[in-house]
Amino acid sequence: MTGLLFRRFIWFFPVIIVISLITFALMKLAPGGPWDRDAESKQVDPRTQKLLDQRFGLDRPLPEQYLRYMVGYIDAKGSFECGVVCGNLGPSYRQRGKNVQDIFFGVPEGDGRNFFHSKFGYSLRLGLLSMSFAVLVGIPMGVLSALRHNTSVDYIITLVTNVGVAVPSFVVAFFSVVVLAVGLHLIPVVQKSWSGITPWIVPAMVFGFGTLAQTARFTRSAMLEVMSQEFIRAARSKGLGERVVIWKHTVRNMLIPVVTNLGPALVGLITGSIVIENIFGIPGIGRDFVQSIGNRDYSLIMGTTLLYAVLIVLGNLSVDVLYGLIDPRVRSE
Amino acid sequence: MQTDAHTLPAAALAGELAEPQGPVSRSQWSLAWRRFRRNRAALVSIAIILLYGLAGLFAPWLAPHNPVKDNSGRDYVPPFWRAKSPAGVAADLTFPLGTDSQGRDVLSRILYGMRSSMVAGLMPALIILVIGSTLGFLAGWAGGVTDNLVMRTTDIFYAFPDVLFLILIMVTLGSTPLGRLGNGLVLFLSALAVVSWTGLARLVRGSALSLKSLEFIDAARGLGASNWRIITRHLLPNSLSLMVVWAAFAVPRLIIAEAILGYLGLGLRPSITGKEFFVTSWGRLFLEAYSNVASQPDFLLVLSFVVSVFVISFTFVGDGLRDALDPRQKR
Repeated sequence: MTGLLFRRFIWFFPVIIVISLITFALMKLAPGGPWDRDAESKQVDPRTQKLLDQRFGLDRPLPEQYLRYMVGYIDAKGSFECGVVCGNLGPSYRQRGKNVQDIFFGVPEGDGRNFFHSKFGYSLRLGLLSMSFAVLVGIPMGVLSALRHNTSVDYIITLVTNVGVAVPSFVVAFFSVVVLAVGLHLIPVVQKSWSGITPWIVPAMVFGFGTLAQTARFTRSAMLEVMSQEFIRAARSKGLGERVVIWKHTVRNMLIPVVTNLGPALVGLITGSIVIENIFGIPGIGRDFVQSIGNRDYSLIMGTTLLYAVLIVLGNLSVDVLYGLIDPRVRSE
Repeated sequence: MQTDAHTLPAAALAGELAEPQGPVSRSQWSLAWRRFRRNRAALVSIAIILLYGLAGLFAPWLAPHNPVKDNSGRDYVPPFWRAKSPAGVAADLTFPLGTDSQGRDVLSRILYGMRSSMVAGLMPALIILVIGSTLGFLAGWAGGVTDNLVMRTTDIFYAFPDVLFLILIMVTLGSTPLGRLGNGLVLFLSALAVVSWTGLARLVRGSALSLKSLEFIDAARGLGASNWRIITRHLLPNSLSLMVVWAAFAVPRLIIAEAILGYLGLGLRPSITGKEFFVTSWGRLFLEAYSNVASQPDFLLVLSFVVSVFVISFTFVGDGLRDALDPRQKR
């Protein structure tokens, strides 16, 4: 188990390097640079541009620029400025005086503001709430569906989950806006404040719905599979109570395939947040990503891609750990 | 999905045995078709998809109006089932689904958008079927270094946030000559293909690996069949059902990817003249409908409904195909 986790962990580094290389290459292939302004507004004059390029090292050859960003460089005063390896995602080219990590994790000023009010905090809240909704409702739905196999309850749940799997959160979000916001005026089209739990309910339910449906489906088929096995019949025939049979023997075994499928689901929730944040106007990391590419804010683009990639790898890794916790057979391997 | 790969050959055998052996020999595919026909939801879905396809194809003849013509003074006309729009405009039956912020006919625009979305769903799927399955067969059959190389590459792509990657490609290369080709369609299709080939490659590799250990492959090899012959005559036909099912689930995903990018303003470039084949796309329409949702909520409602029916149909067909082609796999 430890060996497996270690191998997975080592694999992390080539993944990050390749992803950063691809992102870097794409960024540099794009015409224009961070100092261009919109066509209407006053352009930065060439001398200033040159100075800025010098200051941020954009006049260096590309491989050097990449290394400066990833590893670090020695600045004019002779001290070493560490790069991504130390968690320094570089200065933003557009938001002056801010490092990318400050933009992501920096807590805005004000009373009672904490980590959850940073940009990353907003994205994290959305992801966690959606995931909890999906798991806490999806698994019981799947269990219920399997226990009431081939009854009307089962059929209704199956229908709902079929729709949930097919229709992406992107479209469900639009439905919710039209029906709940414009039609019934239950929520505002654009939320002004994200404090408290109320404004999060609809986005989290919309975003988690697909995962919920998938979880419920996996749970149902895994439940049915386990329930038809010999050891369940054995447990029943030796006189164990129905509750013990269901919760201790069936559910615990059923969780294994369900948990493995939560990994890809988590990844989907992480990357899918760009669109959901955009639709609901949640001030998370994804919302301004498109704009940051348009601005050629190189360090912010790199930072966002790397952050998402790290989250995806960690998401997959955490599923491996969970897998080991639930299934002792994996641990002994 | 991974389990499909391992159960498939055995499942194919089981299907053969389960059917009574009549005097007429039946092919795997005709047996699958018989099973598929019994699935009513899948049949209805096929009909819906065909209908959408025809509607997109014949959009110029079906559309009641020019999809890019602004009808000044006729903006925000509500659809036929509403007497008055929020702004107080009365319905007009010459615009059955109403008009948008610039007075363009919504029905015509949805019909035209359908064509680009169809192409955005089908073309990358075809490209991926060729590239992904080639790499998958190569990796599974050759094994060793090749296998390792291909699989590690898919691992990396798997960790790449795909929406992010699509956005990155579309924004950075969108204004280059490549990005302008065919209203941005060429760049868009390649980007989609690059992002989504890994799933199929893994699937096909798994299938190739499990087939490789079976006796009939040994027999073919013993008879002196070349690698090429084994791959094309034995591995490919036996993995085909897997690939078909993959495609049925991939097409709606790709269509939604187009819709997402279009919504973010990064998809196909809208045509102003209406001369190009691709006038608009569903993604573009989502952007337009959402920015005017307060004055014309029905546009977004209709569009979401049309798109949902389409993707649901594909999922039902995919489920039906999976059950028909792999009868041992229970849902």
